Amino acid sequence: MKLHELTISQLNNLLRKKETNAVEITKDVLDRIAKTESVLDCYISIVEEKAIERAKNIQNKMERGQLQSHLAGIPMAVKDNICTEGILTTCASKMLSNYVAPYNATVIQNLYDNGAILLGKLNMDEFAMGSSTENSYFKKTRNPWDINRVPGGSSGGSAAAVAAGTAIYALGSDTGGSLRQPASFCGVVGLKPTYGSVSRFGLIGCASSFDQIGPITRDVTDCALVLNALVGKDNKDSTTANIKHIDYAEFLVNNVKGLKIGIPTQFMGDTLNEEVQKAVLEAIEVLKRLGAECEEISLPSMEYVLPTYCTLAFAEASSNLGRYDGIKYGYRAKDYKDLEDLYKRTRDEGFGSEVKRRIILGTYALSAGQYEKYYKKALQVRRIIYDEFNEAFQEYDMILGPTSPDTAFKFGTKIDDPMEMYKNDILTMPANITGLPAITVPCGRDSNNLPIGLQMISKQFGESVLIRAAYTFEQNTEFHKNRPII
Amino acid sequence: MIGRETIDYMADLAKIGLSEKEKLIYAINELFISIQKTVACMDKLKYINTLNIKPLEHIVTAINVFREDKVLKSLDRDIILSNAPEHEHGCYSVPKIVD
Repeated sequence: MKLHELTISQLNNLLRKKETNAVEITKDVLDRIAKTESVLDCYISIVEEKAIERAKNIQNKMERGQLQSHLAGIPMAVKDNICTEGILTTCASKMLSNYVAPYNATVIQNLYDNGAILLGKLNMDEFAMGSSTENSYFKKTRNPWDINRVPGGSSGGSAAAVAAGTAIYALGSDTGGSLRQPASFCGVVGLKPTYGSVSRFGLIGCASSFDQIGPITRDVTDCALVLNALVGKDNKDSTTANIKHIDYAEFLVNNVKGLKIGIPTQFMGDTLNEEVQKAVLEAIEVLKRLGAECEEISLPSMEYVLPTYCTLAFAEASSNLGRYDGIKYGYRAKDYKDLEDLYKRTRDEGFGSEVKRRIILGTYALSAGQYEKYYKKALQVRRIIYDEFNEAFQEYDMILGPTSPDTAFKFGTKIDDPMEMYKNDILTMPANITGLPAITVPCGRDSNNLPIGLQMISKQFGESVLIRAAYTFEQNTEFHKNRPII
Repeated sequence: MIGRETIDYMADLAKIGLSEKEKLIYAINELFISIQKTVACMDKLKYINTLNIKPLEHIVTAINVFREDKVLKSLDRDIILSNAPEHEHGCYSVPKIVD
């Protein structure tokens, strides 16, 4: 196998045995990028020279015994809404097309401290608003499994790059499913941590009470290794929790005996693609054979997930995106009469149509006369959903179902109907509404050879349960070994 | 049902000037219909009984996260200004605000 096809743990093994080095791995992945990028378009920016220079530096440190981390010497890439000092951070928007971040996000600094090598910034839906990466100002990323189909979104570039071998691992962000859904569409592993586990300092905000950064990797082992570097209290983000440090790699245990799993009927309804349903039912049988106890449960509040998410996430986004006014950074319109006109023209010309749509909707939900009916009401319904999920975890260790109702769709099929696009995330939104951790692992392919994702949700700070269950499923199936042919 | 005037007013409050193209699209209802459909979805919230339910304002359990009142290092001014669309004498340049 080529270096770019290997996992973090496989590469780490070769590095420890001195059968390869950081520069060789980085050059191999850059070579892979050069060969495939014209087709896949995963990247907005590639920092080739910086990456090679850093790889040399990291290799020196490793040889001197100064870096012990599993992530040392491994090239990776991050979604372009995560600030990287001195490097363009655009959120795939015209509004920030020339913005060079003046600081590193905490997650970036953490990865750098572990010896990670940044290859570049990955394509996404503009300001993380979308489920297909078709809303990017710059380009459309293609699904490596079928280049006529979307990679999912909004972390489409991240998922596609990991699937294609143009990054050994990547970071994405997840507001309503934006990390898990593309991971599912591209046949890789994606984890949204518990809200408050991972610092959002340096993550350009979409909906602040929903957003979380997480790893996208080739297998669950890699996911645990990256998660170790991301999780932790950060004084720069007051929403981070003061949780005890856990080594998630300790939970890479092949055992689900006695694990109690609830499967909501609402996750397996009629709107599900038949092949997705079949794959998930087969996955349930695998877990049962391995000793897990699987039962049907009901979560009636699922009916209100979409209106709750649309109201709250769009309201928060409208507030967050109020800062883009053409004054301190980013795009400024050229012709304007006065300050008010500067704001309006800048925001009209700088934002794409989906972003404008969500800002208008969010403003409406927060406006005088509508606030009680929409925003406050949605906060109450959020509590109902939160309580119902947490009550389920009194009895069950995990909730399980498909990650997405369907597999990757063709370009242009949903972009003109926003409501149809939002429905893609109906199964992933609950984890963001409730702040609960959730992981997706590949569990099959449909008749078009497109990956199907299995989603597991656990209680607050229950990532260790997810890692164990996902690892067990992976070790007893072969789906994580599949790679698209490009 | 949300009307066109309300959508116009919300765009105005959010300081988004809808372009001539969007006003044309508006005239053939694309943006208008998509917003109406989403509001219709949001309207489903009214059917759920939330009597005596406290709004969930914070997912996290942390309350009043304070730090010591110390002056800490900030970012370099020139680096910050390097992202500014227009700047002069160490300040952002903006249109005249006060007559």
